[in-house]
Amino acid sequence: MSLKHNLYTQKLRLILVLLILSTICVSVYPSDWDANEPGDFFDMSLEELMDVEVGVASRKKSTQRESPGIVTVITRDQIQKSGARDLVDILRQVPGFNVGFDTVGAYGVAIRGIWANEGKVLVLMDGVELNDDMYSTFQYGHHIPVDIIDKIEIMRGPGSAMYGESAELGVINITTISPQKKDDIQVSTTYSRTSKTFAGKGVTGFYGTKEEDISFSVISHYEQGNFTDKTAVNYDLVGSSVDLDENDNSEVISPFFNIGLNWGNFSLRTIIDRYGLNSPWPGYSMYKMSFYSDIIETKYRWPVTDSLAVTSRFIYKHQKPWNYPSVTYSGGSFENRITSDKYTSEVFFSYDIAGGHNIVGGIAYDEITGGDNTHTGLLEDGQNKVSYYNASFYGEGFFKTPYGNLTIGGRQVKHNHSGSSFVPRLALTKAIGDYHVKAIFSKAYRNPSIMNIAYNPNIKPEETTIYELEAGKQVSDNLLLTASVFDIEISDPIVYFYSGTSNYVNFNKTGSRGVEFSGIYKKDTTNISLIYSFYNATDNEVSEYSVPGDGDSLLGFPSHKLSLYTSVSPCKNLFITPSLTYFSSRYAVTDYGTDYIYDKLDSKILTNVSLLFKDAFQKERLDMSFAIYNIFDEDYDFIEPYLGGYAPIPGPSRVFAASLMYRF
Amino acid sequence: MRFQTYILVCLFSAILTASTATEVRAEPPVGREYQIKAAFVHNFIKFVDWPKEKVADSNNLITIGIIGKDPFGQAFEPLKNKQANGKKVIIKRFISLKESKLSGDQVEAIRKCHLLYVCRSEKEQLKKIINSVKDYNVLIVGDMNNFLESGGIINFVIEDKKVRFEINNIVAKQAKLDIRSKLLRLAKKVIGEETSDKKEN
Repeated sequence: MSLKHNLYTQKLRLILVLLILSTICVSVYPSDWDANEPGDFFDMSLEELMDVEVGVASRKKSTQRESPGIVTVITRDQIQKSGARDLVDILRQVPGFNVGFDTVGAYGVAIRGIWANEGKVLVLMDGVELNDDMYSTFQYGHHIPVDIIDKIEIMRGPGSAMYGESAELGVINITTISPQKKDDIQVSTTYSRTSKTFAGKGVTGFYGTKEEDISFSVISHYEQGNFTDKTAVNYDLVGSSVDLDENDNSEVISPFFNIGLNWGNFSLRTIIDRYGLNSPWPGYSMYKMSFYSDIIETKYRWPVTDSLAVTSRFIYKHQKPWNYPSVTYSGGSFENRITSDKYTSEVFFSYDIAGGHNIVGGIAYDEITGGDNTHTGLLEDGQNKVSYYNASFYGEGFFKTPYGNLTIGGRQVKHNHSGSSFVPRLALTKAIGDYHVKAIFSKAYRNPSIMNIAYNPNIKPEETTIYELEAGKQVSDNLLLTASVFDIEISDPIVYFYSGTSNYVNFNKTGSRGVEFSGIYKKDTTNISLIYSFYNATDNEVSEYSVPGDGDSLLGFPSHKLSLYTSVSPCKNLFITPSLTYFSSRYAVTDYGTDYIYDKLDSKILTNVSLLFKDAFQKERLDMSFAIYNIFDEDYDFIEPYLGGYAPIPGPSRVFAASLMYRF
Repeated sequence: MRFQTYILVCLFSAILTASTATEVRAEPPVGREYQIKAAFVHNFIKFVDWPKEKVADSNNLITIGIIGKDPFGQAFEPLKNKQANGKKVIIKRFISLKESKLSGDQVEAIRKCHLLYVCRSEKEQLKKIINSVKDYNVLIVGDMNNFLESGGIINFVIEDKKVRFEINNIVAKQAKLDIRSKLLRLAKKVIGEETSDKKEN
């Protein structure tokens, strides 16, 4: 088929789908699910009810003990008291989540021991996907402004059935603050430094206004940071070192904008992201890498009846992720100026049935193109581009039965380049008095992204099977304990593989198994959070992730993680939050002789303390905070968790920070 | 062929959805906000003590009255199987004073309520309603501007997308209702005693 005909067919397909969508005008994104389960609210204490939102309804928000997923919710209050600076700090409070790096300076996450940053974890802000479409990644360090976060919900298990692409092992759902009155203004600034240099400085502004059924908000953020102040020794495994404290060598910049408009049932959101960082190229020089992203979403929600909610949603994403200018080396030069465009249309309905039952379902269609006129790495039919579509339909029913709440659903997805997947999901949850139990079976998938296909046109989707069990007890109004076990098996994992040139390959399988524990105590102004997680590698046949001589571990991530956060208020408006995170020993590649040389890095404890003066000097106006991170100046390294050619990069030394937030 | 298949799926979904839309049974509206407020109301009962004579007259029942255009729909349905302070909770609904005058029996029934939720439709009749129950130990709850100033006891407000409540403890005491300290402490605003440390944040 000729290229011209292909383009014509794609455009026709897009137009037809949009026409159908506008005709039936039905769609709701999963974040719009409305639980409508009044009975569950009656089981909540006053304190719990005061934490429930009325605006955006979600099954898991209202019934966390009975939600059909393993979920951690981090609130604005927790973020502010803990002194978290970015998503890296926030995710330390989440069982099973760890941070590694994916090219120096670009931090990514692992879930339950498995490197998830490429295509396995979906990051949403106000319902809009932030992952790039080149590699399906996101960068977590010094990126998202924390001062404008209202809440983060972290699904620690698969979300493919309802969320689709990139949600194979988890979903990070960020909700930003919204205007509560006319001319609602918030300005915040932060400065932090190590003994040698500044660690971060930034300013964030929020303007929102709300009248009748119209609201409008603008978030603007600019941050400049350094991801370390230390020297990376032998960072390229063959003898090169670089002082990352000098010449802005570890600089990160993050201009970020989020603009939202709600007018009755219509909403419009635009996100403009200009993230960038400096990184050393192995054996050559520092280079600037940029991750530009422009996203626009329009959504119309149509309440057809009291029981049926309907909306239409269209998203356009234009991105230039992982871009860098020409890097010169002995064999010539290399650059990456690849751009991607993605058009998404989605159809979704939510139907409440008498008795607290609910059915959701929808269809989604993505058109994706990645290309570069100067780069010959993306060849398809003689063109410098890759293009494909994803089409899927999905549904999920939530039924109250005498045996508990039953959730049954799934998604059928067609990736026109790589094939089809069907991912079912089945969950049974039951609360009996103070106790609750959850049993969840899920299949999940990861479809190849633009660069996966560009490097290997024969790449296949990977498929994951996950079993999860959770038991919990509401010990008192103030204390909730939960424990969970999981088993993950990934078939045909898509793995970055370097052998002279970059490539992506389907390995046979990998997986992990483990336990997670969480204890949350809240009483008056005291909050204590203790989390623990453990994983064991199971059936890992990916050499890029494996540790020679230790089949129980995966490269880069500790088997055990424990975090303790304690927030107390010794006097009115003052909150002191000491916190510590323990990481057991980790494996890293530290050198290259005739082959990779592995080292076992010692276990570490990172300790922080944060002081928050809320409503300082003026009620409901000014918050001031001071914090010390890495109090004992531990040498904590970030590890590349696959054979990508980098040794561990040192994290920052002790950091002192101060920040102010003022509300007009 | 694949393209045609996809279009057929889209069309099928559209038809299915459209037909579902026409067959949907109209359940009474149960907005999430009022589901939450209903649960708050249930909690309020646990943290308020009524005079002994009111309790003695109530035949081991707690009566919640809702007057006006009811926004709760089926939100109180789960209370059929629950108790508050060891007593069964019943819901009674009263028509809007806008639509009709209350009969003497209805006024008596309202006065027997332990908690009366005054809906927004009654804003113009608020003072009249409050005056008619003020000597009958009724916890008057609502969610409208100037509710406490007009003689209401607990008023719901929305703050940061969450439900908060304010208390007029002066009126509560006049009605011989003893509001426990925990409820006062969690309130966003308290008129009357304990205003100084009502909110620790």
